[in-house]
Amino acid sequence: MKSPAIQLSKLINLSFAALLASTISFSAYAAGVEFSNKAEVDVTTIKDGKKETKRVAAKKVAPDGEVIYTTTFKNTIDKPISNIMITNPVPANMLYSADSATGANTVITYSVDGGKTYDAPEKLTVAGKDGKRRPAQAADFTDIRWIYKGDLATGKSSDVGFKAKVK
Amino acid sequence: MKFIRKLKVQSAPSQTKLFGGLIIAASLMFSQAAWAAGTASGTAINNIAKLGYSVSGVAQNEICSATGPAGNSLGNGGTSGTTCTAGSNGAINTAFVVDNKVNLTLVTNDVAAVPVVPGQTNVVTTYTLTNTGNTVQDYSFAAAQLATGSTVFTTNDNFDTGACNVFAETNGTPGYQAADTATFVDELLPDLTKVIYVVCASIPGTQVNNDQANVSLTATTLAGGAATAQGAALTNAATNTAGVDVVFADPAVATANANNTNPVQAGVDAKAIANDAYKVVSANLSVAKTVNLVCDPVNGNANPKNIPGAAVQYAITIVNTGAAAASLTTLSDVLQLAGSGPATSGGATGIVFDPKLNSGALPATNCVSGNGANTFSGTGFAAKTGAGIGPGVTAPGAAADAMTAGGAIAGQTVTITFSSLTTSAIAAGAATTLAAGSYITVYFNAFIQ
Repeated sequence: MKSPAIQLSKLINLSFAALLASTISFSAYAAGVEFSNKAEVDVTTIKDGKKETKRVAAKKVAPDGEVIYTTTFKNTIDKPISNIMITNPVPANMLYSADSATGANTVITYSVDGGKTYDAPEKLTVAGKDGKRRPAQAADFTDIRWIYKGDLATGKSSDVGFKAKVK
Repeated sequence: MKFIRKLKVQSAPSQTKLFGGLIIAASLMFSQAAWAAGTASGTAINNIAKLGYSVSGVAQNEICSATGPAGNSLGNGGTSGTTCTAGSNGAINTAFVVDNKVNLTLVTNDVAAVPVVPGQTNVVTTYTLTNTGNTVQDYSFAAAQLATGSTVFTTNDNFDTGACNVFAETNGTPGYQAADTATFVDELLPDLTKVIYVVCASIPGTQVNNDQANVSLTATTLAGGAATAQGAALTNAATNTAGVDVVFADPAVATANANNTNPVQAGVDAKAIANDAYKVVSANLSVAKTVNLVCDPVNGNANPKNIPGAAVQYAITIVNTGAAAASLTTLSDVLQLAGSGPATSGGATGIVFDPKLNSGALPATNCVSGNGANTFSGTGFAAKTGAGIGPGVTAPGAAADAMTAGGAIAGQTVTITFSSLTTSAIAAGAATTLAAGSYITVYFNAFIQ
C-alpha cells in the first residue's frame, strides 16, 4: 500500500478541484463516473398511415405534457464502483407519473418530505387536508432514489429514469 | 496502487433536504393558486440528479448531473449532503420551458330559457368565459341563431330574434347595461373568468307564449399580450420550436348535455360554444264581472229581491292565466245613471254607489245606502287576491277584505288604482303585480234606485 501523498500526486493531473477536496478528505476520487441527465418527450407522428413515436429532447412542454428524465452513469475508472446511489428531485411545477421510475438492477424508493427520508411507496404517508395521515400517492412524491445493487464494472454504464407531467 | 478507504454508507444528504423543502412549498402554492390552468407558459423547469458511489468500498464525492452525452464527472461536493444547484459543484440544469397551452370554457349562466315578451327589445342571454389555459389571452365572439327545430332547454326553436351583438362585462356592475360596450375580452389571465352578454335587438311582436328562439355563442382564443387591442388569431403549433409554442388543448364535446347548452363541438380549435334560448312567456289576463243581491229593504238579506232600494254587489275579477306576471295600473267601471234605464222601467232606474259596503244584516231597515251599522268598509270597496282563478266573492263579502285605499267614486265612475290598493291582507303596492296563475277581485255595492 502506498501513502496518500503518492495518490494525491497521481490525481493532480486529473482534477484540481478534486485535489482540493482530497486534501480535506480521503474519500475523493475524481473523474470516476460520467453522470448525465436529460429530459425528453415522446412525439407521435403519423407517417404513411402508421403511428411513429420518437423520443426527442424536451425544449417546450405544455401543461399536462409528460417528460421522461433519464440519468445515465458510466464507470470510467479502472476499478469497479459500488454503493451507487442516485437521487433526483421531481422538479417544481411537475407531478411524478405513477409507477414510471425505472432502473435496471436498482432498488427504487421515494420521498414525500423533500428528500429527508425515503421508503417504498406503500409505506409513505402524508398529512391529509383533515390533518390525518393518509397513504401517499404518486403526486405526493418529491424525490426519487435509486440504489444500484452490486458493483458497476469498469467501462460499463447504466441508467435510471422517471416520468413526470407538467402541472 | 490501491485505494484504501473506509466504507461509508450513503445517507440522505442534508442539503437535498433544503432543496426538497422548496419543492414542497412550491407544490402547495401551485395547488392553491394555479392548478387548473397549469404552470404559466415560459416557466423554466429545471432538474439536477445527484450520484453517490464508492470505489473499493470507499465513498467518493458526489457528482451533480450535467447535460450532454458524457454529462459531468466532477465530484466537487462532499461524500454526502452535496448541494446540486446550477452553477455549483459542476451542476448544469436539465431544463425545458413550459409552452402556451390554450384552453377555455364557455357556459351559459341561464338555468332556463330567458323569458321574454313579444315586442321586447335588447333581450339578453348571459355566459361565463374561463381561461383554463396557462397564458394571458384575448377572446373574440360570434353569436348566431340556431336553426328552426334545434333544441335548447328541451324546447325547439321556432323563430329568430332580431340581430344579436356580443358584449363583455365592462363596467363591473352585474348584468348587462348600456355601458357594457367591450366587444372582445382583453388580456384574460389564466384561471380568471369574464361574463359575456349576447344582446339581441328584439322579439317580434307576433310571437306567442312558449315560442322559443335558440342562440349560440362561440368564443375564440386570440393572442394576448397587447393590452386594449384585440390579439391576432392563434395557430396550433405543428412542431416543437425553440420559442414558446401555442398548443391547442381545448377538448371536443362528443355528447351534448341534457339541455344542449353545451353542444357537440370539435376540440383543438381554441374555440368553445355555448347555447342559450329566449322563450316567450307573456301574461294573459281575463276580466269577469259578476253581480249578486245583498239585501232589499223588505226582506233584508233573507231571500232578497231586485226591487228598488235593494243592494247588489259587483265583483270584478282579473285572472292572469299567462306565463308571466302582469303589471296592473287602473280599472274603471261606470255605474248606470238614474234615468238611463230601459223603457220598461220608465227609463228611471239607475244605481248608486254604497259608500259603506253594506253587509245586508237584519233588520231590513238597515238595507240602505251608507248605513253605518252594517258597514264592511269605510271606503265602500273591498278586494282579495290569491292563486288560481279565484273563488269569486259570495255576497256580501267580508270585513277582512275592506280596502283602506285604492278605490274611488267620482260621479258614477268607479276607479281602482292598483298601486295604492290596500287591505289588511294586501300591502300597499302589492296589487300592482299580478303573478302568473293568480287573481285579484275587487268588489263594491250599489243600491237600485
